[in-house]
Amino acid sequence: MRSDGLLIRIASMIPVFFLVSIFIFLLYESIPSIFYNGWNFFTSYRWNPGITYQEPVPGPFGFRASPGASFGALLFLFGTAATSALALAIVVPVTLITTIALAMHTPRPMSRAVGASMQLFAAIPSVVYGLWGIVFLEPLLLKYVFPWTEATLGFIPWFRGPATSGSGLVASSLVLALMVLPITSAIVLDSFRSLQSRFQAPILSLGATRTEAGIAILGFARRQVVGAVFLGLGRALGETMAVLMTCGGAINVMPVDIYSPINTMAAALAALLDSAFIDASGMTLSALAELGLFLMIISLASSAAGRALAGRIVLRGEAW
Amino acid sequence: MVRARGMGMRRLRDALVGAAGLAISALLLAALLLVLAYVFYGAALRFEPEMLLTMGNTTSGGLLNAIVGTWLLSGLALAISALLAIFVAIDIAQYAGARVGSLLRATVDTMAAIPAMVYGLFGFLVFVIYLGMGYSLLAGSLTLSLMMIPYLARSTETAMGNVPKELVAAAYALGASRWQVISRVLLRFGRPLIISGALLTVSIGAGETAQLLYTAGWNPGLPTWFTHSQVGYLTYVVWAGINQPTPYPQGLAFVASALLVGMILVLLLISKWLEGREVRRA
Amino acid sequence: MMSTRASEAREGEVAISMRGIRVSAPGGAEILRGIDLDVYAGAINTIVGPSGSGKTTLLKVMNRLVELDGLRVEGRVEFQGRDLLKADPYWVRRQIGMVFQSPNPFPMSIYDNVAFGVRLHWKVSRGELDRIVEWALMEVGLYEEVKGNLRRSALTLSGGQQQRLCIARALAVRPSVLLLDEPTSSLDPYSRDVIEKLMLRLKSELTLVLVTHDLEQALRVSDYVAFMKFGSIVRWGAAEEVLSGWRDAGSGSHDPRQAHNGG
Repeated sequence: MRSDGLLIRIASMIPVFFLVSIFIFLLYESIPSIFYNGWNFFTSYRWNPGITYQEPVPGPFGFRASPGASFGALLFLFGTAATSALALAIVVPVTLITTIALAMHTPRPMSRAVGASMQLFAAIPSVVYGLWGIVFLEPLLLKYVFPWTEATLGFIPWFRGPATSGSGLVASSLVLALMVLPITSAIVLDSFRSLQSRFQAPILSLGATRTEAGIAILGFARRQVVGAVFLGLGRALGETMAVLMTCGGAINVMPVDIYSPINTMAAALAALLDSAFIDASGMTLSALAELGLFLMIISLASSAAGRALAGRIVLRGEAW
Repeated sequence: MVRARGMGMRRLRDALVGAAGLAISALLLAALLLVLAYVFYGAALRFEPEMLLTMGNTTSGGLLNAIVGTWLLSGLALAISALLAIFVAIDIAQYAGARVGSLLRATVDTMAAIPAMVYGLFGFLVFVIYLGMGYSLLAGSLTLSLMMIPYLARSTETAMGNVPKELVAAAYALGASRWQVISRVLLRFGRPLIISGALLTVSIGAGETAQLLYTAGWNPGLPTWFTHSQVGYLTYVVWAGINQPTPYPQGLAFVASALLVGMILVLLLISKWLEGREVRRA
Repeated sequence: MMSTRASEAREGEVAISMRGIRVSAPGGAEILRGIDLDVYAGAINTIVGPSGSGKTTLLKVMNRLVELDGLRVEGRVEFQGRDLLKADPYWVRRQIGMVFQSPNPFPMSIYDNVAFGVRLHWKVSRGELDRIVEWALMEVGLYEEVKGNLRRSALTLSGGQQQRLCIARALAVRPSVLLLDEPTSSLDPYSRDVIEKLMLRLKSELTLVLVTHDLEQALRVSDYVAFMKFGSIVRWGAAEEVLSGWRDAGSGSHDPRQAHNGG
């Protein structure tokens, strides 16, 4: 019967319509900012909505903004890159070594229990991680870790300090790492297991140790491992609340060392959308839309790369 | 030139890697357990009965409005997204050809990859401003539902795929139409897994904040209508409360966190139990 | 040099001597019940039996893979002067190689497949490694077929070629014993023939232990045969005596002079 099929088709096209409209709306809303700010948006770290209580004045291409407005998102781009990079720098080696240990050195039931608990932790809300970061991690960093790094690594300018707060690059990267880890380990362990049954016996029969066998099998799964990293990156890029709560909320000042406050695109969006209301010209909102558009594009690119390599996407809760 | 690799070195490396890997795994589990323990312990320390029994804003009073608000938002979002996601799943599974099928799949996968704050921004622009709902239950739920669609579509598709092929074939053989097969066989026998997926999705929705910050607003009481009336929700309390300098709001934040984690845990456990039962049956 | 063959058995002698081998699952189920078996050097020792009789498990006892399945092993296996159940498992596995039922080449080049085991155990110069790979491939008769491009992925080979590659991979570490677990059961008759001929050639250099459910194959290649059923050996000895008795039994006449050839 064609009629029921038609109704279904109409209904199933609604999400497609929504997806397309997300793109269109963001693009439409960011056009003023794209033209007004130009490349400045990506090269300057000064985020200045201008004197917002005055009348908007025209700027480049005729788009209007408050006098003196100039929006540069370099700080947020940098912060996103830095926190994601640091988080992945922690997550990747940890994932690899724990995969080898869990798959080759522990009995099945135990590794499955670990897997199940990982799934649980992927479901903990972002704000709860943020709360833990604020109340536990940051004081810990400030009281114990930073004095140590200042003392031992202080000869490197970035570590000299002095640290005045626990929030910043380190805290937010650590929290981010904790949140990305369940995802990447899930995919890597899954890929490992699917190869393990076929190759473990022949590799071991040649006289390899468990670790050597584990390394070899991970090597066979190289593509999926890289895919898992991209998928983890996609998650890290979009993480908002936990980062917002632990990054220090920097505006208009680039970090000078690892103890400085920073900001990421997602966190900045959450923090700055407020300020869009008082800007009568609407340019702040447009700049934020451009930021959101850019964030969406790189997140989608990362996820697409991850999907291409690992053969799947990851939804929270379906990891193990 | 041939030189043997010392077996001693190899065993040492094997033992070291094994030990290090296991130690790190244990450390990770401990860290994650620490997060949970810290939250629950902190909540227990700061708990006061009025937190659960009264409404409040984020600096005083209780969490009742936020609890109700979280359920309202998640529930309504689930209803909206379920409506759409199920049809997507049905279309992919039964009706769509290769091209429409991959379009739908690509859509679902793409929607899953969009950052939460981008949904929040979109929801603010479209639902709150352009469609004029203002901060409201409807705006928040609609935004949340967009995020939920991929989860539900995926789990429903899996649920329908889990139904034994023989049942489907038998139904067709008895002369059932396509829609009848879907409604009477696939959706019926797939129900436990669909519900399991729905519970999982709600648990994720309950923990979201970014989508709601600029769509649901905040309300020290309960919303009066779907539009133009703001809603309070637990994750907002966590965020706002912990940033206050005084202890009581921080206590609210802790208790709200404990409530969230508790709710999510329960939903997850039920979801996994349902799933486990189905898998065992099949 | 790569291998010391000082304590190796010479042709005709017993290479591996198994006594009282019991293997049980964690739940208590017995898979092998008190097996006694001798494996003769420079010969093809075949173990035949229906599926589930425990022949693969018996094989895996010899290269210590059985413990990876979580099974418990008791008994003694004498090999090169020691009990290999108590010896270093890595040493055992290098001396006793294995080929599996379905060909399982690693997703790497042909060259890297053969070199894999060698690289594990030795630091070898490029030239030396080339020679080892070439030698192993020639041993299995693959060299002429693949020498044009050793960098090709092993997965591009046919089933029979892949299995021969797996044999080459096992041979590259110069074991003194090669275990073959139904190596031809997933192959076409032509490949099966090629590999049987290969086994007959190899027995002059190695000891082979073959597990098969194919009686015809056992007839074609074996020097010694052991029959297994339900985890025990019901008959074993020199091939002609055991198999001819079996054949006669199959055709209805019993020869009371069945030889139970003890070790």
